[in-house]
Amino acid sequence: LHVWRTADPDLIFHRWPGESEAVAYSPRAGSLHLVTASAVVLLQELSARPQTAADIERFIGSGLGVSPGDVTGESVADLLRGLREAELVERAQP
Amino acid sequence: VTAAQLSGPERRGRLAGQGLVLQAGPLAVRIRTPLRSVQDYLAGHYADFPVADAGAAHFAVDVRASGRVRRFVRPQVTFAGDGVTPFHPLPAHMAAALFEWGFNWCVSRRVHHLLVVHAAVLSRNGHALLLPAPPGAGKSTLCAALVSAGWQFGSDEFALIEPETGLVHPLPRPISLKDQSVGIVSARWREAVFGPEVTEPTGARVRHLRPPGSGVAQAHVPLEARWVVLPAYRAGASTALASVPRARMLAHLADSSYNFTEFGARGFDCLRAIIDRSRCCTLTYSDLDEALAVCDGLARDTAV
Repeated sequence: LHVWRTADPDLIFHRWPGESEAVAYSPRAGSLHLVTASAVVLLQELSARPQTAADIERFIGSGLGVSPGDVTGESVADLLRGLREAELVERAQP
Repeated sequence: VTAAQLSGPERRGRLAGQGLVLQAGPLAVRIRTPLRSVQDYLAGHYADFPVADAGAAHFAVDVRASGRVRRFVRPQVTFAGDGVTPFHPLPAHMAAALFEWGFNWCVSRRVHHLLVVHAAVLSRNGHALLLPAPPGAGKSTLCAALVSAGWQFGSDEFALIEPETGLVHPLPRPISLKDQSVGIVSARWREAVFGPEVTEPTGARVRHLRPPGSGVAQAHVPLEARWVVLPAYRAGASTALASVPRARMLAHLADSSYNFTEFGARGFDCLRAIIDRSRCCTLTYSDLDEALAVCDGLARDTAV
């Protein structure tokens, strides 16, 4: 099982009041990303504690208030793939 | 002393020799060219630019004839920025345009002390309107039209931003207009002076519009950004000004910057502060008069 963490432990988030999107800035990469508010919560969680895909699935179901039926292993894999392509998350070394 | 205040022989002698250093906003550029066509272009389009100290140059540009045989058979010209030749040689009649494109290349690659964002800059009462937009969005046409309607010209191509203060430095170089935009602007701006027409490799016909002297004279005054507007020209579209979420606009500004990553968290804080104090919108238009009225309305309404 892969354990996921943020690629930059010092990610900086900024969200303006009333907006559904936020920005995530990586000091390590010098890159800025537009992310959803839910992604911010997930990234903050991964920054605090690396997690497996199963952990993430549970977290989305509870921490983000998404109905458990709407969270599938496939949707979590898609989410992780997108975050990985944006170089916001990476697999932690075993 | 401005370029126009040098005598013709003095100006040409410097250009053909050690170089003429001109102050363009916060940047000093050493220009060397033995080509009469570029010298004449500079005498007109850069007439109001101050001459700077020889040792002050941030980068050097050089436009000259390429090859010996090529001087007689389909002559070509080459550009070098700090000794680097980023472009293939072009036909000699494109020398002035090559100078401008090379100058752009230098600003995008050689400026490291200021955040460089691809955006037009205009101002009213010391406050800047930034127009970051991809090619084809009508940025330069709107920029020239706004100048003709009384806005102070800051820049057609680059917003140069101090990372510590977020202040925007004007860089009032010639405005690059394509195809029908030349006719549209010249109909509104009777005193407009255009450089020679050239055809880009893409097929677009381009002419450079001489910047107004008032903009050049105020190029040393940095501006505080108040409005960030994404212009979008669409044939037949109704004029519409719509707010853009700040996070989205910040991401767009960072994407439009050539050197955002060089500044680390300072760059992020700087652009975030600009977005914080600016009204962020898209402006979709097909009617230029309506677009100008919308921009005037923005300037009247100081609420963020």
